[in-house]
Amino acid sequence: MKFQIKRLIFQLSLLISANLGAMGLKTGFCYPFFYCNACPAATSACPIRAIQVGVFKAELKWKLIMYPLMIIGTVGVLTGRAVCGWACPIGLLQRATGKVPRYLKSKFPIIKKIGSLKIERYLRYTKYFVFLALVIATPIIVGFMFTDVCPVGMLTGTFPTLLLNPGKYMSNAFFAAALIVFMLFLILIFLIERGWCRYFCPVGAMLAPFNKVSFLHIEVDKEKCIHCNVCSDVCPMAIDVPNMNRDPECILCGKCVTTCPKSVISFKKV
Amino acid sequence: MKKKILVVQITLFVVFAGGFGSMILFTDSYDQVFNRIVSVTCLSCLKLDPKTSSEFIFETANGKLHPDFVLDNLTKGPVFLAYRKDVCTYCDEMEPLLMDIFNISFEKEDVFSKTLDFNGNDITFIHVNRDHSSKALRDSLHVYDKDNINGVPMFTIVTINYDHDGIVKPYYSTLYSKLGLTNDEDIKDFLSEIIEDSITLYNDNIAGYIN
Repeated sequence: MKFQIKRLIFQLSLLISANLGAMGLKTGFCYPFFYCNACPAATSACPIRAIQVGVFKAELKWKLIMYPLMIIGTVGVLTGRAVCGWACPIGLLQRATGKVPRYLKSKFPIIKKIGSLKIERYLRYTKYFVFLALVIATPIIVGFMFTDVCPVGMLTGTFPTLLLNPGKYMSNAFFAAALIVFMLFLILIFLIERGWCRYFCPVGAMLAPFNKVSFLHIEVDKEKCIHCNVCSDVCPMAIDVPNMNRDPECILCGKCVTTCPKSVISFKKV
Repeated sequence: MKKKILVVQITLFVVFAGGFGSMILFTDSYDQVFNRIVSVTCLSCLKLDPKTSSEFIFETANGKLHPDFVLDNLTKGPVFLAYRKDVCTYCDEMEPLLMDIFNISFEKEDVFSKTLDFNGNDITFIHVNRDHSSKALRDSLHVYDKDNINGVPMFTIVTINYDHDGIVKPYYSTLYSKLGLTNDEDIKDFLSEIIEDSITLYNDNIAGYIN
């Protein structure tokens, strides 16, 4: 079976397991990826929500802060950001929309040009800012929580609730702001491949540093590499693969591994 | 170099996996996440308000009996239950209005029951912060969640009325979130009206009520 098909099956399995709440399975675990506990079928808690509840208005609840961090840390040390490429339902969504930005890039050279600007590299730090500012700082200081306007919550919590209960709900004061953020999220993922993972995902920000030390990682044999850049072209995270060394942006999707004409890119377990 | 990384990897794995395992085994973190986040939704976070109906009904939402702490207080007058969680924007916005209506003050973490005077009638106010309350209080939310919303803030008023068999039984209504209203005065008026209705029902039927 082709590697990418295996990955798709894995992603779909994880999507199903994230929604076993529909069959009554509700647990006290946190997802190691981004998914909303307000989803009518959610099995577990969103790690971002747990951290926010833990820090809200500086009434620190250490267990609620440490618990998701331990889960993310355990998964991160084992597999790095493979969670984004293999498990996250929002990653699966962006895999599905990935062809659109690629098409747009080929049709409109300006998009390709924007993507190759030097500033793009620095924009990737935005997700760390989102994590520190909107997940940690604003809940502590002003009580504003990222989850109040979270586009993932809108997609996996609000919309399914509306669809499953027609006529039973109406929008509240947070709806309009969240809808605007959601529209921007949609525009982003249709304009830039994996745009959410690259620039904004706070769970990605928590997992990314673990790529530097994770057991599972991708390695390039730089001596045998012919720098054809086929790997970089297929990389959904637009990484300079031939020169990468445990890149925090790598989601271990394996596209570079399977397309390398010289087979010099491989998964390593230690 | 590879050996150094391996040492770091193993150390970090032991710290994180050990920390996670210890939290599961030796703390109530799992229960806290379940009770505070997974089991009941915060309606402001859901960005939706249920379309509220103030209709009174006899049948409990989950088919279970009315909790003892409600039945005990129902001998004194109607019982008003206010459910919330620690982190819930609309709960924070609704509580000052409740304080105004009942002329009391409390902190959001407080779990208490108090019989109050409401326009010359006794009414028991029970504040249930699910993050700090007992299981019996926590579970009572599902008894009165008549529209199957499973979210907070939720407000229940329990009174008594004759059912179709001519027996006086607990009779309740549940309202959610900001009751579908935006103006604070409208919310207070709506709640006050439903409380007055419950008192009228109570006074009309108390003679036939046997707990």
